[in-house]
Amino acid sequence: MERTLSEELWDRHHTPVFNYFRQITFREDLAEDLTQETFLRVVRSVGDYCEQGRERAWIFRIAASVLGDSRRRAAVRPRLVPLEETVSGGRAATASTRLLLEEALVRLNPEEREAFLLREWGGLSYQEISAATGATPDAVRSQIYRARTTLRRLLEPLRKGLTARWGDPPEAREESL
Amino acid sequence: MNQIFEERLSAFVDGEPVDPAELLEALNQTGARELLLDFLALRIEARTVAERAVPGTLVARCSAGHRVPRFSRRWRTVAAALLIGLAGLGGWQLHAWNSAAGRAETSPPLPTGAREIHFAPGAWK
Repeated sequence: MERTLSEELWDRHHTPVFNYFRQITFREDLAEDLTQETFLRVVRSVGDYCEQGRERAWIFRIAASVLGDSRRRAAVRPRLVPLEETVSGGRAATASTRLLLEEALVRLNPEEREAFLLREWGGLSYQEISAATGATPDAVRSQIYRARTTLRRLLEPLRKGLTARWGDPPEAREESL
Repeated sequence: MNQIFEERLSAFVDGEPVDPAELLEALNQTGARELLLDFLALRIEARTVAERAVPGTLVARCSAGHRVPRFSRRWRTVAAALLIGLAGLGGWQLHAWNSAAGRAETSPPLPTGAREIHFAPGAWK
């Protein structure tokens, strides 16, 4: 059965887009709505896409635009909830690097987190993040730098392990998590 | 290493333009190598988190492994055959109706009157 381009884009990118919205809004229901809206726009404008090899950046630019529209429409603000009730789903902290990283992301300043996620998950350049968020490229550069150093500090107990595992093949890293 | 050097290395990791002389200066600082490796390790871990589906969410259920069943090829074939059959039946029925109507139009007109001829025996002898 042949698959459309829109279906392939959905399969390749919907999880990072959903996770991006979840990290920004702290709400899974809202993140789902925003993901759906993003991919509706993707489907509508898929014919205009011409940046070969930068699919994810293109989709994340649309996602950032959807988020901006949503904020303007409903004045969306992150719902403040205790850290243990957020991304870890209330589970006790484990030694899993991923969970610790998710929890560390929650602790970032909102602007820093958004810039960092657009860079690392979306692959946007500083200029593109600047256009998406309204911050200047220099501010974006500082936000991403601060996010990195904060995460590095928060993950300090795992830092040596992270760096050591970096040279391992992906399977080995996966097993070690 | 001060913040300016660290920020340069962060931008370098992102592929953003950094002045080569300034980059060299940053790379010569103590701890530069360790910082670069940490930034790269953080990137790899962050991208792993990005791809992690959240169980139970609608988005996770709609992933490739949990696709909503689609109208399969077999059923599409059956439906197409049924449609063709119905169309054929409809065409045949239409043809039959047209034929009946055609026959009705070409039949000879009914007689309007009759003349009775009486036979007289021996008249033509």
